[in-house]
Amino acid sequence: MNKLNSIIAIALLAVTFTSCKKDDEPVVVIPASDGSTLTLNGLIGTEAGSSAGNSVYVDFSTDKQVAINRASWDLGFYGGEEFRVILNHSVGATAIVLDSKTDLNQVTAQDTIALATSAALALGQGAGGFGLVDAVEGSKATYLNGTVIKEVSATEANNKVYIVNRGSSGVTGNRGWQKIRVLRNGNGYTLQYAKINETTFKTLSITKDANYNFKAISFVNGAVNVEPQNADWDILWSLSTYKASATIPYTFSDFVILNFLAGAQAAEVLTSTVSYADFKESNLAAVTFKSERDVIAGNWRITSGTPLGVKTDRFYLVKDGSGNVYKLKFNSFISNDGGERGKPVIEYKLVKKA
Amino acid sequence: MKIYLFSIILLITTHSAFAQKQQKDLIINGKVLTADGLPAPGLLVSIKDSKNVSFTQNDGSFKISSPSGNNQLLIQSGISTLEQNIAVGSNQTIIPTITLKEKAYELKEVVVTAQYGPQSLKNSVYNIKTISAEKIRLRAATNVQQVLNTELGFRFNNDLTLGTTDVELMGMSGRNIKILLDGVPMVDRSDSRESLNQIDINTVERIEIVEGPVSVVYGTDALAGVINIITKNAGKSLINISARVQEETTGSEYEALRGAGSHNQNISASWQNKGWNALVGVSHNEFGGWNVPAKTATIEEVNSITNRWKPKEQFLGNTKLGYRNDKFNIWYRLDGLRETIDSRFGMNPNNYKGKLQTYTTDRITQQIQSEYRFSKKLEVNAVAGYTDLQRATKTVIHDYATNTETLTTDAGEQDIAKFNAAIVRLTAQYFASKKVTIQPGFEYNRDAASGQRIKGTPVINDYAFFASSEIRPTERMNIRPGVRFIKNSVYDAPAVIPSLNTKVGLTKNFDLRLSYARGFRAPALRELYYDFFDASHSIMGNENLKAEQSNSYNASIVWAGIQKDDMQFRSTATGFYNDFKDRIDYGMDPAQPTVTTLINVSRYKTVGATIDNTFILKSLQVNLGFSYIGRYNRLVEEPTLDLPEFMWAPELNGNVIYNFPKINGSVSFFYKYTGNRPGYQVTTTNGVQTTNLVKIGGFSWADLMLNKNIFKNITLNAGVKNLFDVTQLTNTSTSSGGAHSTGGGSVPYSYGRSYVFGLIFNWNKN
Repeated sequence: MNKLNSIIAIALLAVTFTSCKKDDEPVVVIPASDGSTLTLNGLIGTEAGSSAGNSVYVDFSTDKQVAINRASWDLGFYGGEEFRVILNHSVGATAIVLDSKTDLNQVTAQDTIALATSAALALGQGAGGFGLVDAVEGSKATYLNGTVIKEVSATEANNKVYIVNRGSSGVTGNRGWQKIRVLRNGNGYTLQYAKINETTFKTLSITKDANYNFKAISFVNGAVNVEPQNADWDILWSLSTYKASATIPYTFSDFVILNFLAGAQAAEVLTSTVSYADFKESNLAAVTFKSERDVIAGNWRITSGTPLGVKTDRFYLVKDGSGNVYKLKFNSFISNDGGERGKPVIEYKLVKKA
Repeated sequence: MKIYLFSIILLITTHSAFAQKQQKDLIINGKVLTADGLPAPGLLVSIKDSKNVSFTQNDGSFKISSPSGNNQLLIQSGISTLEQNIAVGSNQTIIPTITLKEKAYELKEVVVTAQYGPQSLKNSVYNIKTISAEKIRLRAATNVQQVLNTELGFRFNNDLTLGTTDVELMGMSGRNIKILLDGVPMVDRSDSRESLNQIDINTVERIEIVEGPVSVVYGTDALAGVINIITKNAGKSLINISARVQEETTGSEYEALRGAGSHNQNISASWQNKGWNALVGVSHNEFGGWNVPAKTATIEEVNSITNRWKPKEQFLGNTKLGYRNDKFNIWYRLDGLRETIDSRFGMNPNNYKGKLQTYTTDRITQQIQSEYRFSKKLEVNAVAGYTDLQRATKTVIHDYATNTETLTTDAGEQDIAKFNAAIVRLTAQYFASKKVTIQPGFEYNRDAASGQRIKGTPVINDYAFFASSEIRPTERMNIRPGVRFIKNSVYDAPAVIPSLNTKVGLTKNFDLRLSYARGFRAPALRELYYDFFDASHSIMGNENLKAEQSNSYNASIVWAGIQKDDMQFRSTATGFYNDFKDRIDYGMDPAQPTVTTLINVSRYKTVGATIDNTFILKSLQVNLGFSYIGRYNRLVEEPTLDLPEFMWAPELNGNVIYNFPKINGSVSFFYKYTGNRPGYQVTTTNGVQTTNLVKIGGFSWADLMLNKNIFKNITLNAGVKNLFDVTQLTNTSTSSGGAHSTGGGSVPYSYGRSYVFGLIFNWNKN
């Protein structure tokens, strides 16, 4: 082997074994921020972030959040004028009416076999229809008129038995079915409920309270505290039943519901119009507010496809029931945007005081 | 590293032990020529009933030590064994020149895949395509994909999110293709065959491709075909050292030696003496990626361009250690890989944080193979292999404001998926008579896995017994029936897998091959034990899955019209029809309608024809091929839609190699045109289904390479890859609007025209 060859061989060896060290990441100097930042406490324990166990109510004016276990309740009883009962949208509960039954004791497993085998009360992955769930979009009137359980009638005989699938979206274990019937009780409600096979039923009385949108009950624990008073929250972050398409209901993680029943309104602003930082009271003139359940919804983030993460091209305005206007942006909600699933970070600032 | 050192020490000690024992023998000289009078290099020469072996050199000459007296000299051409009686004495050390019955080109066209032993391409009962060492060298390839990308029937699908590539052969992809390394299956973690690009190209001697099922011999997965990567042996020199450096641009991006571009280095050494041989190789491949976003690019900026290639780095090592004598051959091989792929998701301008992810694959494959020839009539082969594969995902959130990193806690972001697979294959060849050969065999496979979205730590044991026979009623006819019986610990294996291959020499130069084979694919561990439940997903594997099965019919006709020394012409026409049933697909669990599971539901078919011509005239070698392959259109099962059963796509390939013997150089041009790939898209509007024809656009791929020996031991490679500057393929399909649909739009295929420069160093001591 001559000299040249040896030199080349050694050079090749040296190149071969040169290991690589990653270059350091650049440091970014960030501008000062003057709003409030809040990390929502969606996780109860070690559950997966996409199945976060809590629903979180946020009140901008007091910088407060209230986290409740979203599986802790089953039915909500409306505190306003109408006699309305909602299902737990935050666990994907469904219900179906048994048209011919008005007595819980007359309902047996026989009445539900067909429902079980045809998966009539299933929700998710394409199963289920909008007839099984409460309205998922629209204004207060649309929402209240769209409940599965028809408005509780003053005429007892008109109040049918419903089979409720308690839902299991992101919750461990099958929580089973219940048969229920709701009657009026003065300016309140009487709930009759039992498991499908039971031959007797329990009753609960629920009084209406106008300070709350809904008073909640649990089939296991009776009356439970879920919603804060309706003047004490602006948005709710939670898993919630929404729609995959015009015909298929689907439970969305990280769904944001406006407190539209208490008069809150919201609007989406694209940063191509004006940036979050630059948005001032004077910009409000060009904004059209809407008071619907799904103004914010899941529009602020992408959970499948690319890019996963919060959408940085938009932010929101929320006008609370008293007329204060806040600008709101979602900073992160998943590792792809530097956040953590189940612990979304929001930033907001008062734009106009009522 | 320990293992390498150990091997070397072992070699040195055993070497000296043998050296002492054989001092009494005489050294004899001889020469071996082919039937057409050319020197036959690289053949194994041995003395019967002794441990003395040697190899013929480039001029066909050999030296071997032999005891004096009458001996039998064995010359193994790779296809046949020639026995020559020689008389050796102190004044008789030069033996007459020996002439083989094979011609020079036949020695170059040896195949082993699915054979009873090494076999000439012409005599193989299977229609096998080979890609020779020379072609691989001329391509200046840095991975196997770059060698196969101009072959007919091959197509590659890039997953730029994961930085992996899947291979498609004859209209089938992923698990339907079996990739073997010297006959031992490569293990893959998921449906895509990313292992193909985790093989060190520098260790590849040649690639053999069998189209159509070879399930009787190789078991599961070998439905569409088998790609058998044959690795290099120590060769005929006492010592060989070779090294290679190659620098390549990725499109117009390049930085010297590191960073942007592609940077490849390899060094390998081999040694052989007195039947012992050893080989060691190390390679480093660094791919700097393409269109890599700036480090502080926002998430939106990162995703605004779909054709971005992730940086990838591979360290590959291999060693082979073997011993052979006149009737015994054993070798051990170890292949190791570490691959790192870096993924950046972009910075979130709201919080100045960004996700960085690293996928690290560690793969170790070990194998021991041995052959023993009991007699002229009986040979036994044993193969044992063990693969350990781990893929780790590490995810951090980098905070660009504070320059700190934190590990993420989201599901699956800190995960190690582990797989291991063991195989033992024993086969015997019994040459009952000139007309009948029987090969019984036994195979045991064990697969185990654990990791995210896999329930528990499942293990599958698979036992198979197979037998085949080659019957030659006449000189020109070869009939090979085969059958495989399987017993599996988990799934209900098909009771019996039959095959029938025939070859008929219609005339001296006209060979017809007809075959029928049943193919099968066992449900993969991930399909049996998939487990993914969260708020909006309920998907689980199905332990009651059956195997997918296919009926395959292949026909080929080869006309070797001209077979002269300086001029050859060969034309091969093939046709195939594959009908797959019980294909595993996602469906609704009948017992739990809310759960999605895997069931045997789908059908699939492929049909096609190819024609391939090779013409050699002196220093010129030309190949020209055409294929037309139809893939099954599943929508034909919808009676309301009136659609054709097959979606056809043409391919055309050609390559020209011209050697300049006087200057020790060559020019080569490799070309392939892949035609439009049609598909049908269904859109449902107001409950009415409509379909429209969509197409992924055709493209031309071409590489032009120059190769010249510039100095005694140094060869230079330079050229242009992807001459037509293909980056994305057009696609007329639109977003389907499904939950995980990433929409239509162009299909990323490559990073554009690139320029290659490489040096190869090769040094031998005889």
